Amino acid sequence: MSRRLGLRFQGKPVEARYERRGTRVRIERAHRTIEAEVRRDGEDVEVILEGEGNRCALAAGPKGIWVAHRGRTTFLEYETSEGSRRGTGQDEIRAPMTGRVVQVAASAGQSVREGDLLVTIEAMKMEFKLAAPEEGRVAEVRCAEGDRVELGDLLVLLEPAS
Amino acid sequence: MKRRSRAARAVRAFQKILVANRGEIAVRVCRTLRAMKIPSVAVYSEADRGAPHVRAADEAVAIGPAPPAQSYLDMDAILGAARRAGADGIHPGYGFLSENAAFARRCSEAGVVFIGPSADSMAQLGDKAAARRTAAECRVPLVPGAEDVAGADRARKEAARIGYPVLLKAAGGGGGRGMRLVRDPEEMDAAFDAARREAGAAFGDDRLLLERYVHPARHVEVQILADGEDAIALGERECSLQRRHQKLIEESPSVAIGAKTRSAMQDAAASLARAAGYAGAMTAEFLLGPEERFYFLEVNTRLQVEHPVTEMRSGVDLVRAQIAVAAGESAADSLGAQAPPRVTGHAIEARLLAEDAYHGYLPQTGRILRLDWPEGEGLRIDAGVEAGMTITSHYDSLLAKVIAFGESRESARRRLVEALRATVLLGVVTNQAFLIDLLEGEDFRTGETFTHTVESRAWEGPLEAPDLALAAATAILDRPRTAAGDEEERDRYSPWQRLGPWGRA
Repeated sequence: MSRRLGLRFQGKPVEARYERRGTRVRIERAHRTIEAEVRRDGEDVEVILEGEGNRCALAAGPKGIWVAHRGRTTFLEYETSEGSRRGTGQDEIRAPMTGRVVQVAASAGQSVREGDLLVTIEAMKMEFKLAAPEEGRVAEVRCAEGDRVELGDLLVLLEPAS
Repeated sequence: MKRRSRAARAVRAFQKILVANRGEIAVRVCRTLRAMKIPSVAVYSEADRGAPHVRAADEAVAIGPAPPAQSYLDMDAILGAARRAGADGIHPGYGFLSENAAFARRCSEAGVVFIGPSADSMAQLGDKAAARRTAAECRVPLVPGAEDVAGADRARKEAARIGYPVLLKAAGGGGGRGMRLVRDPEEMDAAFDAARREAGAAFGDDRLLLERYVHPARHVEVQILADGEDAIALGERECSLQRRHQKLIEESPSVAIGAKTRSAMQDAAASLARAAGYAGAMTAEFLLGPEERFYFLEVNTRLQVEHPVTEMRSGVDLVRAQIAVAAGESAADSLGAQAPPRVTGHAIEARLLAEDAYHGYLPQTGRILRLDWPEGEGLRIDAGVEAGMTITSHYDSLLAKVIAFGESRESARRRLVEALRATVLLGVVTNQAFLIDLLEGEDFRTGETFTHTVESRAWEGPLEAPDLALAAATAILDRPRTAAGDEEERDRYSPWQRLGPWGRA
């Protein structure tokens, strides 16, 4: 019996099912099947993939699983986790990071062209500009200058030009 | 690598030193204070209660809420902490108040030694407009530019005279904050406003200056140690690999200059220090254009983030030297037995940052779940973080510096790549893999490193989750979980169930 992996990578669901027997793991991905040996070893996990042994560091966080191998770290978010979703809907401008709103250039009702500045956020002493992804109208502004915002907070709602 | 023979008088000059900083630099300064047997005092904001730098010091004083303006930039709070703790010296580290002449002045008024240059030499060299005048007097070559540009209209007029593209820069501080590239007159208004706001926020001083943009250029800087009269050059560092004008990789020596240019650059840097009667550690930054032509960029009147590169090659402890000079020793004496010291081999530093290099260098926050540093010969880790610590958006994104030394550039590079591969930091997205990409890339291997190299191409991480990561993750997924997709019968007898601390926090 296989089960869904139930993880997201870079905001998108990982389409895969997996099945494990002892240390043997079989993962069915969209276009291929992976067979691996997965063995716990202290805080690490030893994964034998295509005949090659790979030692990975592993940790479970509140929002997902972190896996590191030779300096490259992958974050696999639980599908059940909310909040850290990046702005997916084109009409929703969300905070790409935790920080402070230093400038709100958009106002409700205003027409915007692609690339027009909407909001500037400051974090770690750097400024980041959020621009309109397409032509449209600002339906709602949900933040004000000086607000502290969390990753994923909704800042501006856009209505695409019809 | 550390020298042991030091004049005892410097060590006795300070009773107690307060470190007015946080993160890796505060930890690093405390390490030297401990080696010198000078009691250390840390300061911390509410967000940094229990941070590594607090424990690195002998005692610690709370100075206010998390926002820097109410804590690490609050002169009254820091001077108050020094008074309460009975500190007679303040080491400012880098950033925060390290280049603030008003703070240096207030320290001396309060009878506390500011471990850095005098307020006057700071004003003369730390202020970019004043530094350009000093450089001109010293016949150090300058990039064409304009000082103290009052508004966007004035900036446009000056830019038309100098020629686009131009750079807008903060007059009151370094580190790329308040800096903007302007390619044509239309971009000026927005760039001017942004640069002014960023400069004001970072340095409490929103004056701007304008310069021609030299291209292609490398960033090469000279480390100086001076005592008010004498100035000793400790070699150069090349820091061309940058993003958003923030350095990522620094190395010494620079592969781009010969002995003649090196010597001319060191003389230029030393002449600036002497002209300002500078005492302490100082860095003169230069733009290196084609044909080894160099132009004065700015002076940093403080310890640099990348100072370990120089320490690895020279064996000098620059913090110790700063403290010795502040105690009245000569620069030559502060360096110990041999001055100038022999500078050998090759050192490379990589800055490990909490940012997503593959997605617009977005800053990242979160709690560090696991952290393992490698150890090895020729390897140095300057870290300000530890497992369990939460990285917030209040402070800059530098988590740690990984520095490798080797007899040759290639051996240092290999050592650094291996160290980054062996480093494990889970819980916060970092630029670790990106640093490996840079160090393994053709540009770095061949020494073709320019200030535009990093940003001239798009860097991509994996487009889909790696097979290896998914396979490894199944080790945790087997734990009993609820509400995770189509839950099926649990593998109750699997050893996986009974092993390990893999609980979701």
